[in-house]
Amino acid sequence: MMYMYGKVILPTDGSELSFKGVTEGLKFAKKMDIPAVAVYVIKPSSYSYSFSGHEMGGLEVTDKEFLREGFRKQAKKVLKKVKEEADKMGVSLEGNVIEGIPYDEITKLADKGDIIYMSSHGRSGLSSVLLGSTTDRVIKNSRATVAVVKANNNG
Amino acid sequence: MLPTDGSKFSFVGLDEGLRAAKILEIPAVAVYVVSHSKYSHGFMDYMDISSKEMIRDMGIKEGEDVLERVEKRAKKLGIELETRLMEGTPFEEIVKIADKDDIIYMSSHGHSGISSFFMGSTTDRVLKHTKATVAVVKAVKQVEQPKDLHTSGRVMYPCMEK
Repeated sequence: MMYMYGKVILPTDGSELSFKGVTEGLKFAKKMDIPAVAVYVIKPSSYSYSFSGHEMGGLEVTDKEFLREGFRKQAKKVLKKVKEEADKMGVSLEGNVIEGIPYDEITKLADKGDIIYMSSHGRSGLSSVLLGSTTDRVIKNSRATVAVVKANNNG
Repeated sequence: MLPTDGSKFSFVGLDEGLRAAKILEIPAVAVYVVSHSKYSHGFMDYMDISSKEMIRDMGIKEGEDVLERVEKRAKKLGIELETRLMEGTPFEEIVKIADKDDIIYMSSHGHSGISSFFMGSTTDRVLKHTKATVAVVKAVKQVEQPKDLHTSGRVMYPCMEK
């Protein structure tokens, strides 16, 4: 048996759409007989900026911490779901919660010999763009191969 | 599905795709699209029919050569390979023949090289229009960006991998 990739990186933002990439990536890891690494990236902007992009100046530090803790819980829940799926399939999986800019953290996690499996679209939905922004940025910045699973391929 | 335009860049994706096909035990299809734009657009409008025909024939000949080379590579690796020579707009033809459950292995760059800095236009368009999974293989050697362009006095571009 030869191994052509080190590991499969599976970024997820918890959305239904992103799970499409995760599922395909797990299948790929199984067939290739290689381990998988799931990653959930929490953006600092999620808990320190308001929706209009201004810093949440009015928020107390404790409020920010409260929000941050909420995101961490959510991330762990999502990764637990991925772990259960991986266990079912017999794929070895490690989960990571990272705080930072999603495409940057995903890119950093992937070595040159790895393959990143991700959906074309994530949390921001299918909307009007043909390719989600995080996926687009990962493709452009990663040295690893990026397998893009079309999230909208039912229709 | 393994599209190639015969360029050194495109062979990076093709090779990875061939190896993946072998491990996954699935058949591979190599595709070469003779681009219509090469002999039917712009200034070519002023060219006579026979010249256009000649350019087209050259394209087809080149495609056959490239696919033959791919076949040899596949044979060496012991992979079942089907080849397809098509004519038209590359991304459209590739999208047409790829099913939802296929995986298209493509290099981030092809013939046009690194002129489009991050991703070649055909790869970009296939990615946006296909229903299949697309594995984008990095075909450019990454070069560290100089920290400060002003003090270094020059702009650096990624160079071709030898």
